[in-house]
Amino acid sequence: MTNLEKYNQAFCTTFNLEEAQLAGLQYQGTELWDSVGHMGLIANLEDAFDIMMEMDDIIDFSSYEKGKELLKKYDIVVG
Amino acid sequence: MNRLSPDFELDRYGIQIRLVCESDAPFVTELRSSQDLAQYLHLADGDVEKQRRWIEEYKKREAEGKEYYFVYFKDGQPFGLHRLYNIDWTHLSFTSGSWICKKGMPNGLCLTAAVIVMEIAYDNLGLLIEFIDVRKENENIVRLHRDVFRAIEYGETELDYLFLTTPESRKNSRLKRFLGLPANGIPV
Repeated sequence: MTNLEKYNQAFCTTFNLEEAQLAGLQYQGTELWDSVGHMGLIANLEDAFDIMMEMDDIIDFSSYEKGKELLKKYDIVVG
Repeated sequence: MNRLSPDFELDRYGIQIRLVCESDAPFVTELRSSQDLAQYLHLADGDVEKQRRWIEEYKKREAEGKEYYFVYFKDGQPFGLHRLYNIDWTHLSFTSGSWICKKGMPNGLCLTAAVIVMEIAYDNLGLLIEFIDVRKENENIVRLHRDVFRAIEYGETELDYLFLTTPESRKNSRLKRFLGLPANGIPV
């Protein structure tokens, strides 16, 4: 599975979305991406990439695109 | 059997916790009669005297080690409640519930308070297995148990999803990862 596939899968599983709905997605931009969903997303991404994100990055993780940028800090390049 | 004394108090991670007493009846009533906050709990009817009598009865169960009802405080102000009940000293199991925090409290604070209550259950009381019933409609808390607490889902009833945690399953919990999250409010 590529990094992009893992990344998308974490979003789709956590928020019950299709891949086509992910581009441009922002925090609170879908019903399930609220404060609780945010924790679930981070937990699923940390599992998928075997990383531990810093709290500042967890807070800054405000969109689908921003998340890709933040993961570069952890040597994860997402498509 | 490690019982808590009636004057049990704990100050940990910047949060103070003690057992509910009759003088807490107004606060308990305020939280538990809030339609927003307590919609998935047994909604109280706003009668403080009835709540006081309930606490009086609860104190008997507390004295027998059957149940513990906690109040969370931050800077001297109460902000939440949490209850351990159905304590089974033979199987060292318990049910946790009635978790409720005032609106607008930081997520991290509510989660930290829950961590402290679990530490009391495991470390102070020596209990091992936690059962949790979550109303199916309470989607946020269902997701919290599945995705963050990583509790084991072992069944369901018409109304509830049934979860449990064991010492082994708790190693997978991500709860402590999110204690620093700022305000937003977890709708427990």
